[in-house]
Amino acid sequence: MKAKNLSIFFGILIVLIVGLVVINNLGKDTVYGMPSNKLYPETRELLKDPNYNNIIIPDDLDQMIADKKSFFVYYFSATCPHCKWTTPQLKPLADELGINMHQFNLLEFQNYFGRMNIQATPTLVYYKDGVEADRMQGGLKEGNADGYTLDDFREFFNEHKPDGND
Amino acid sequence: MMKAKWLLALPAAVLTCGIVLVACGGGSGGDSHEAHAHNGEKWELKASYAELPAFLGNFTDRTKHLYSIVGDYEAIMKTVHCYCGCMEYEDDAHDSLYRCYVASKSGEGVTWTDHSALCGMCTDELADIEKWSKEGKSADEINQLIEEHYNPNYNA
Repeated sequence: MKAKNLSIFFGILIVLIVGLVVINNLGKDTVYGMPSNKLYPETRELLKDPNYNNIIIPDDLDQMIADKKSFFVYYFSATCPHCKWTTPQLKPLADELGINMHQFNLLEFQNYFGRMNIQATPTLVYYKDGVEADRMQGGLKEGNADGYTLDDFREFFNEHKPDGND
Repeated sequence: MMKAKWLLALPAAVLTCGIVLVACGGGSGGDSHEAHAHNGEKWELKASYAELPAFLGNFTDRTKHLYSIVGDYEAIMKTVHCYCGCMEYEDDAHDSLYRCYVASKSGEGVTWTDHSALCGMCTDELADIEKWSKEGKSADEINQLIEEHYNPNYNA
């Protein structure tokens, strides 16, 4: 009788612990490969924003370069006001043109500023066969200030798309 | 009877430890960005302009260079507007381009902020200030040029 009680007790114990581990892991793995409580609040705000639905993380970016793919990467920071101005116009343009524009959030992976030589956000880079071939540094023109027009971005996309759009 | 109690105490202790460990494992991530209390900015106090903040290690040489010349252009940077949007923050709005690089300066030293390192507009403005200064332009001329190039509402 005593042994039976004990086995029931341990049974419940194991179920509880397994349950807790499962619940604990439910929060893991946002598109950034980590749970949302490890992200900056500014990044968390973008998690459900459809204009930021093509996030690429360092491991995948490194892999694409190693595999000598040809592709577009839009480097931005979740805090950068000029990115917040540019992305909602640039992402729909990329979608319209059928461009797979990978989005790299430098706020979360700041060592990639130096590593990818990104001098300012936003910067749009085209990699051909895993090597940087071209870039547009800076965002969309706002009012009378300097900056690119949407047509400048359209031209950039159209120029490089035939070389690969992985 | 005594023995049975001990037998229960052991699993109870295991369960408690398990709960504590699991709970801590899930919650500990929250403080990974603890330095970010200021509009997402990371601040770092150094003795003087000559001592650059450690966070620059992540950034390009251009960004490092721009932080290294802040002391030289302090006066003009304090008069120039930044048009990245930071001057319209609801909390702790920036009052000039200078604030994009330095959160505060006191007898203790310089409190650097990483805001500009993550802001293309902020680095471009200082790069232009350096360029125009070397061309011999006056502070007024530089202010005027910044307005022409960066102010979205500039009317020629």
